[in-house]
Amino acid sequence: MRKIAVVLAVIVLVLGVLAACSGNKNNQPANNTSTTGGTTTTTGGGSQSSSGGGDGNAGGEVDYRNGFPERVTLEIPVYDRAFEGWNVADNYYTRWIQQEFGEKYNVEVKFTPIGRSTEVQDFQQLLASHRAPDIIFHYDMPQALNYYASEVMQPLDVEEIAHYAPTYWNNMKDTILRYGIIEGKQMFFFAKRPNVSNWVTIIRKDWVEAVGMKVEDLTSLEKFNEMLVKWRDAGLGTAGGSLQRNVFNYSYAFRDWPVDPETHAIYTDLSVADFTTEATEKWLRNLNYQYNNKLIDQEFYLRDDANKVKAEFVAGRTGTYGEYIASNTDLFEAVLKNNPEAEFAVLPPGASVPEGGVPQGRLDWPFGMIMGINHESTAEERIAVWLYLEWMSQPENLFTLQNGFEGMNYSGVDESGLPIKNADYDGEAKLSPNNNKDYWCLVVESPVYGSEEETIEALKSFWSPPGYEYIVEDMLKYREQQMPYLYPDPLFTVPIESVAKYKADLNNLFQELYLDIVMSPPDQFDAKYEAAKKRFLEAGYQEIIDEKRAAYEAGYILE
Amino acid sequence: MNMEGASVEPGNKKSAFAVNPKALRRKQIRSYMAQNWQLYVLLIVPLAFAITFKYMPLSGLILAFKDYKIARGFWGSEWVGFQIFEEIFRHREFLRALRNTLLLNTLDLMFSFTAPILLALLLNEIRHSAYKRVNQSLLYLPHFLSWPIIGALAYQLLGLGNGLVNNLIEMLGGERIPFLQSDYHWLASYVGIGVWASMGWGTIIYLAAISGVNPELYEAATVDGAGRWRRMWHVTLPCIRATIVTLLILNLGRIMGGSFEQIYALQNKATTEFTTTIPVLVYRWGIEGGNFSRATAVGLFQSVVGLLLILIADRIAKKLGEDGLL
Repeated sequence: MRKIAVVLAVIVLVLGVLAACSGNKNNQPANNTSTTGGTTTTTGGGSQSSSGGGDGNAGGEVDYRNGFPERVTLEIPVYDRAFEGWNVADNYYTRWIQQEFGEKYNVEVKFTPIGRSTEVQDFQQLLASHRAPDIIFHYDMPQALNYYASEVMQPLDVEEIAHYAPTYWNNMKDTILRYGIIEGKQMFFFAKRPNVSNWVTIIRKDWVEAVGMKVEDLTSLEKFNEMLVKWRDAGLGTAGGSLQRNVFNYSYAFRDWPVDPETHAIYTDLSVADFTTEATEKWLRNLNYQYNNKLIDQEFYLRDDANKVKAEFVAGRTGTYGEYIASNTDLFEAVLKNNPEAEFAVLPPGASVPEGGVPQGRLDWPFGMIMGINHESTAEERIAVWLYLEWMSQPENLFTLQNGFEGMNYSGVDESGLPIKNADYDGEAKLSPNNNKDYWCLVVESPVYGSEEETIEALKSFWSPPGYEYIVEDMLKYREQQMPYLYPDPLFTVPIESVAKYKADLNNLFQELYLDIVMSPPDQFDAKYEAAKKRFLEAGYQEIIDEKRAAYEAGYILE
Repeated sequence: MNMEGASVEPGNKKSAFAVNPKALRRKQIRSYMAQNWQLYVLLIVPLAFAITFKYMPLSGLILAFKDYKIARGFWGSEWVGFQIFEEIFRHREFLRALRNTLLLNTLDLMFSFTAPILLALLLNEIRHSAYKRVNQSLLYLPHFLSWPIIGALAYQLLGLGNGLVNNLIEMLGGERIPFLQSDYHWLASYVGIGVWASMGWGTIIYLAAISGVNPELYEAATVDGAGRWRRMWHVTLPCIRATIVTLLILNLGRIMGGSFEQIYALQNKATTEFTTTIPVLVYRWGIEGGNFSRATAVGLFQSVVGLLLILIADRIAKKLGEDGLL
């Protein structure tokens, strides 16, 4: 009896060790290829013009520009935004990509769904289990640097990119060379980002007018709050609200103008709240006022994803709501179903800025998606990525991905080359509710048609739900006005390691602290905020500030 | 199962003497195996399952002693000894998480563990069998709902702003109650919802145990003039005591862990005093923060304490004259 037990225990242990070992062995070959790929590249990464780039040897001995002799599996990440009835990994367009691109180059294109709000977790788990896609991407530089710091990306050879993806390279080379080199190594490649934005905050115009005001009157936060008081008294509803987490850009409207470059460099960070700044204090005070006077959604802390915030607006309980607008948004229809009398307008940017301030905001960098190649990807898989980007950079392919097919999604093109949409099309080739963006975001962040003006003109139809063209017009007008006060995040050229280390803890602590402050009576505000600041600093924020200050003073920052 | 044969020495020489006891034993085993080998083949499947899914993942525990970096893998990462444990024990959230874990699970044990026993006793007293069966089915139902669904339902019904129950209370002239949106209310709701969700399913084992009680005992008790209460107290309960103790010991092992999903589904960010527990920390550090080493270390700590609790409970049970588990 005892012997059997011992033998079993030994077997189990041996199996366990073997399992761990073999798990390791499996990556060995991939690791090797990536490091050899790396060594060939670092030289190229350092000085780009060194070798003339003989066509034949840029990507190794064999040239795969016309496809691979053996089937290569290319795994592409795609954001899963939980759109109803939309399977991100298998739909009309993924099959179309397979047929048009995959079959041509002998590539099996697989899409790996990445939860939009859990993307870092998802990538980390996929990486740890060796199932991560060939591209590792993120919209925000600090996190992209985190991936780099955790050694999950391989260095790249720019000549290889130029060789296999000439169109893409020509579009993006300036950006790639300027922003993609980290500690002397070419790590990132990018998608283009035209200087446009389709984020819009909608307000219930009928409510504004019902209390005897006009949307244009909402020129300051004070006016906005005044209106909210009237909404409350008239029993209409409150302003919308949501749990502040993960993305921290709440304090812009409360910052001093002009911005001090050092303060900006140290405190502006999408992934960590600038909890100890004066701007945050003002933001908290306003929220505390709004909460205690029942001017915002009293359960805003339960609205922790976009759909829950939207549900309140759709139900007619809240009067403001922000989203990235697209022509096929169902927002207005949904509200009208519950509140047939509803009218909509764009909330002027001034309405969230205290008297005397300017509507500051976050400007995106000139690049969209920041991408790197998985450290375990083989040379063939890496080359397949370049071929894929090249294929997608072809205008006709991009156009189809963005607009669908003639005779189905659109009936034809007008004189300036813009598609005339079939708004009611509901067939198999229906685009995703954000016009398939999560597929073509690898090369561009929003569609481009010729010059900037032409693009804006085109985007109007891309963004405007039928009948709501004025919303998009206003949105563009306001952005124009706000433009002088927009500035991008600081861009460190070294990973700030304390951010990665404390981010998750600080994020949780932030939620706990800020909700406690906002939901307490105004007379407790000062004491609570003081104590909370101290806790936040001790929980790691002080270390982040110190590390960023050191990096700033050492000049590791792009101006 | 007869496993005695395993003690036969492997290198034993073949003997010509039939009287050799070892050879005899071996012969017995062979014939036993020839008769019953199917049973052992059947055993392979669950054994393989347990090894693959329960034992092999244990090798991952070495992460708790390493500074794990994804790119370097299990073996490439650096050994750091007990450094990660030190980090955890010093972490400001740890003590609160420990307190909450013990608090929530003790409450759970007090209510969710006893409720099925009471319910089983009550169900057992129902005479009308169709009525009894309908009741049982209805009581089992919550078990089949996943926690995210129960969580969503809870907020729909008990929410402060638009919850159905609160709307009803207000209509009847009462004050709205922050069932899930103030710390102590949350605690009560947590326990209540836990009882609701697990109570029915938990009765199955007790009902099975009760059905095994010798009916003659009841008859004898009735003859002695025992009423329903007396019979329940002096016959049914003592007869299912062994079952209760076994389940109690098993549940004690969970007192350091508890359901992560239940907390996660019912929590909200404004009511955090009692919602940080050790499993929540494992999730936050490991899944959200990507710090797999720290999450593994916390999880290991929790399991070790859980195991100790089981062993102690088992010892105590044996001292009290019960069979115990081991």
